[in-house]
Amino acid sequence: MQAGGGEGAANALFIDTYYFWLIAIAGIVALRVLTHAPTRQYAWATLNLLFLWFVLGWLIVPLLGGGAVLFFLLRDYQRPNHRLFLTVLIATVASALFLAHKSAFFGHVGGDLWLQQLLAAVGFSFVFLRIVDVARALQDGRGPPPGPAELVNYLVPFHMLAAGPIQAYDDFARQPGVPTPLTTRETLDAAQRVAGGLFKKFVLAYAVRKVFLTDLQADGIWFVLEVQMLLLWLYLDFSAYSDIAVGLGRLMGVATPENFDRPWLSRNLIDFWDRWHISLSHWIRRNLFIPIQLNLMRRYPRTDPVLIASLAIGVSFFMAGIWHGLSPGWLLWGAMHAIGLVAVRLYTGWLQKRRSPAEIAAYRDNRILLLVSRAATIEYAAIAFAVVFMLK
Amino acid sequence: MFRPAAQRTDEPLRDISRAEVAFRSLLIFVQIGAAYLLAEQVSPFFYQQF
Repeated sequence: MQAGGGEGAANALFIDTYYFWLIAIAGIVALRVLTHAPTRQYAWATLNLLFLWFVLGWLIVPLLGGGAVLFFLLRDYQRPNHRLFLTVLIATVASALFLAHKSAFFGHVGGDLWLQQLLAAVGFSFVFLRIVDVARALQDGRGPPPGPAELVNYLVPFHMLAAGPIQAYDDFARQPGVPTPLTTRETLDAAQRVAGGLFKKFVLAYAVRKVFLTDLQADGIWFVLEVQMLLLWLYLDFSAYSDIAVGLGRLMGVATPENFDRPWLSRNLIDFWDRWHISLSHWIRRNLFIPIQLNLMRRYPRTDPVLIASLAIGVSFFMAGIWHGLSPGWLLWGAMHAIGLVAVRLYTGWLQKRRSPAEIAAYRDNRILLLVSRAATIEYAAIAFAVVFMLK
Repeated sequence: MFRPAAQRTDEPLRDISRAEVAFRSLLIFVQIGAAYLLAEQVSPFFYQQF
């Protein structure tokens, strides 16, 4: 069963291994002691590769080979006449690997599953999104191509490997070579994020699963309760990984984006996607929604912008559904979110046309309406996730 | 691509009382301890590796 972030939500991935914590401690010490930026970058890359060696064993060899090919392809982006060819090549290879990761088909055709084992072990869903992000940044000329250590550190940071977050390449490239020293309070805050994440994953999420979840076999009112608890479990489990990643990132001085921001406070689905799996929704916005919308607006300038935005949302969430899993459940989940987001856009536009700014402000401040809209939003999200589990 | 070190000049590194450090450390220890004890239920491999 895969849920929440596509990977890592159902079982403890990596965080229940001794080598994860060994590398984490080594990372905190090394990356805080080293104050020479290039040395620090290479030490960080060494630790990430060491972690992959623990995970993969000999399978790290083809991974390094693939990484080397990608490294040289990305360097070639500096030559403008190569860009289109490279974009198509990287997109094709990465998409083929992604399909191999998500579908049993390729593994069975090949007669063995080593490629799937490799892709699953490195959480390729997340690596795939990072490859797209770095390729697009270079395509747009937003910076020089990454060096070998930087490419390793961006694509396979050990603490973000299991369940994200998905860091934007621009944010990665922007971070200082050597971070500011932590104060005692900041150190304790970061350690608390790690400890709180472990507590969430192994105590709270486990308790919710044991007490309330029956794989949606419950009847009547218990079924309704289980749908709510399924979302709560997903949140506790998935956000726990993000807490651990963010906490370790702060302790090591490695930029790690936030992934959740109290999703139960979302007043509509647009707000929900600014609070749930934030790094994925930002990736979708950067790499799917905005490019699709701009492209359609340029090609069809007379078409209604709302129709174009709706189409862009539809395509984006269709792709997001596929990214989570090649199953009818995830496709329906994507469709439900696309329909919900389009509905919110249409309703917001309708309100703005028919109501004055003062009336809209009063509408937004109405506490009862706020409560109802929060409940409706979270219920919609819960039902969408329940559909995934029912049609898995 | 390698950027220079960021500077911190605004606040001292010790910005918290010893009592608070002790209390919060204890809290962190308790949470990790509880997670470790229950991790056996969630993932038996965790224990087998030690």
